[in-house]
Amino acid sequence: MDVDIVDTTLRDGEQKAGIALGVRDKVRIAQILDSLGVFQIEAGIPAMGGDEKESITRMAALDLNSKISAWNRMHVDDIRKSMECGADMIHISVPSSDIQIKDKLGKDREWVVDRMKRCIAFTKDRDYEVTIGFEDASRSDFDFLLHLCSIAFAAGVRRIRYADTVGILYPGRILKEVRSIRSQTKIEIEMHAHNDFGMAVANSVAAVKGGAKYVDCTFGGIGERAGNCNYIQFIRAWSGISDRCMMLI
Amino acid sequence: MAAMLQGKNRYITDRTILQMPDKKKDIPRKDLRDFCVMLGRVGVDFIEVDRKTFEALGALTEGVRYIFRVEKEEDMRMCFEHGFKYCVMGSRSLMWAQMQYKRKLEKIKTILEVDVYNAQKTEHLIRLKGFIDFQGIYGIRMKGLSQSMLIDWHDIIGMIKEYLSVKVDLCPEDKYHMATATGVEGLMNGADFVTATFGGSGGLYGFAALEEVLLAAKVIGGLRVRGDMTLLPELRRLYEKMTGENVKGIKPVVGDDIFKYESGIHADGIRKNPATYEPYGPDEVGQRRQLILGKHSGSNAVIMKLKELCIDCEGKNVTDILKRMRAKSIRLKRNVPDSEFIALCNEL
Repeated sequence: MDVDIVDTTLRDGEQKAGIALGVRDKVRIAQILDSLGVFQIEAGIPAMGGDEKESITRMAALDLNSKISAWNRMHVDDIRKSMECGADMIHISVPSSDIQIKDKLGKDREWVVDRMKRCIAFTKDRDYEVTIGFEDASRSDFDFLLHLCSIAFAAGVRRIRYADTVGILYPGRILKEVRSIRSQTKIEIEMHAHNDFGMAVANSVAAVKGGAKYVDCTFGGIGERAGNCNYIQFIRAWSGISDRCMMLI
Repeated sequence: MAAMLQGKNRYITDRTILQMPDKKKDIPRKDLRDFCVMLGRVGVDFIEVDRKTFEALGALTEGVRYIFRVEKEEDMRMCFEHGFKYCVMGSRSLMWAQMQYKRKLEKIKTILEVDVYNAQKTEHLIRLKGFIDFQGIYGIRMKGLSQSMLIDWHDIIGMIKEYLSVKVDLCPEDKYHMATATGVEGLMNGADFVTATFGGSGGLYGFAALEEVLLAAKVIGGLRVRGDMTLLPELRRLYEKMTGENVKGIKPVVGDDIFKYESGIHADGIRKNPATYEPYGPDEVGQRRQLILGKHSGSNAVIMKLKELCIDCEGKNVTDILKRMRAKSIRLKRNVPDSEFIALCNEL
C-alpha cells in the first residue's frame, strides 16, 4: 500500500501564528522537500499576492520532481492568480460543514455546490489538474460530503482532500468514512489531519488503511492551533506498523 | 470516576510522577504534593506511585486514590504496611505474591500489568488464566499497544472481560505517536481505565497524554468528564517548574500557542463564530484567544486589532497599514507584536 506525501509546511504550516517565511526561505524549503521525495508541495496561497505569489512562481519555475500546488478559495480571481504562478496543480478549498457554510460564508449548500462546479469548470477548461479540499469535512453531514464527492468526480476531479479542520476525528471513524467514500465514489482521497487532540498521526494512518492514497503533513507538525500531521512522525508510524496493520484490519 | 459513558464509569490513572526522578532530582515535596492534588482536580482518579515516589511524597494526598507499583518483595511489604487499597504488578511478581501473601492480597485490588505487543494478540492474555489465579485480580493493564490500530476495540475488550472477569486498563505507549488515540478509542469502547501521563511524558517512547485523553473523551467521545480542566495551565506551569522542561507552544490542549490565530481566513471565521475554527473554546482549558498580526493577516484582522488596542480607525488607511505590517513581518520573519503595530500606526 503506497502513500504519497503532500507537504503543506509552506501553506498550512506557515499559517501557524507568528511564522513568516520570505521568498528565499520558501524556495529553499521546497528544494529540500523535493530532495526528500515528497510527491507534492502545497506551496502557498497566490491570492495573498506580493512575496507569496513570487515565491510560488519561483518554486514552480524550478521544475522540481515534486508537484507544486497552490491553494485557493472558491474564487475565480484567486484561481487565476495560481495559474499566473505556473503551479502544476490547482487546489480549491470547499467549505463542507454547515457551520462553515452558514456562519463563515453566509451561504447555503446549493451555493457551495454551484460555486464548486463553476470553479472546477473554469480550471479544467484551462487544462489544469484540480484537487478539491473539503474543508471541515469531519463536521459535515456525511451524505452531503458524499454528494459533493460525486459531483466533483463527475466534473473530472480525481482527488479530494478530506480535511479534519478542527481535529475532531478518531481512527475508527475516519477509517470507516474513507472506506465509504472510496466504495461509493471511487474518487481518490488525501487525508488532511489536524492535531488538536494529539491524534493527527493516528487518524492519518487510519485513513490510509481505509484507502486514502495521499497524506498531508508539515515539518515539525507546525500549523494552526496544535498543528498538523507531523511528517517525521507519520513516516515513522507508517513504516513501523503498516505490515502488521494490514494484517490487523 | 473521571468520566462516564452511557451510565458506566471510566477511570483515569496518571503515572507522571513515577517518571519525575529521571527528569530532575530533589523535587520539593510540596511541589510533588501540589501536583498530585491538582491532578485530582483536573479529573484524575488514580495516581500510580512506587517506593521511591511514595517516599518523596511523604504521605498520600486527599482527593485522589493511589495505586502502588510493586517491583520487588520489599515493595509488597510497603504496600501492606501503608494500607494501599490498589496495587499494580507484573505477572512474575503476582505469581510470587499469590503464593506468599494470598490472604493479605485478598484485601487489595490488584492490577496485573502485561506488555501487549498489539491488541489483537489477546489470546495470549487468555492463556494467563492457566497459571495465574484470576479470582483475586481486579484488573488487567495492557501496556504497550504501539503496534495496534484499534479498530476492533469493542470485541477485544469484551473478550478479555468475558474470559478473565476483570476490569480492563489500557496503558498505551507512544512509539508510533498513536497512544492518545488508543486511549480515547479504548475509553469509548469499553475500557474501564486508561493510564496516561501529563504531556505524554516518560518511558522510552512516552505515553498517552493525560490532558488529550481527558478532553478528547469529553469533546469527541461524548463522555461526561468530572474534572476542572481550566486548571490545566496551572498544572503545566507546575510540571515545568518540577521537571525543568518547557511544554511546547504547539502542544495540544496545554500549549501556549494553540489559541493564537493570525491568518486572514481564520481571523474572519473566528470573528463571525469562533466554533468555525476551534474544536473547543479557550475557556474550556483555562486559556484565552489571542489575535496575532503577521504575514498572513488580512484587513479584517487589522481592523480587529485596531479596535482591541482602542486605536481610532477613523481616517486610518487600513490597506496601507496592512501592507506595511505584512512587509515588516516578512522582513523580520516573525509576527508584529502590539507595541510595534502601535508604533507603525503612529508613523502614518
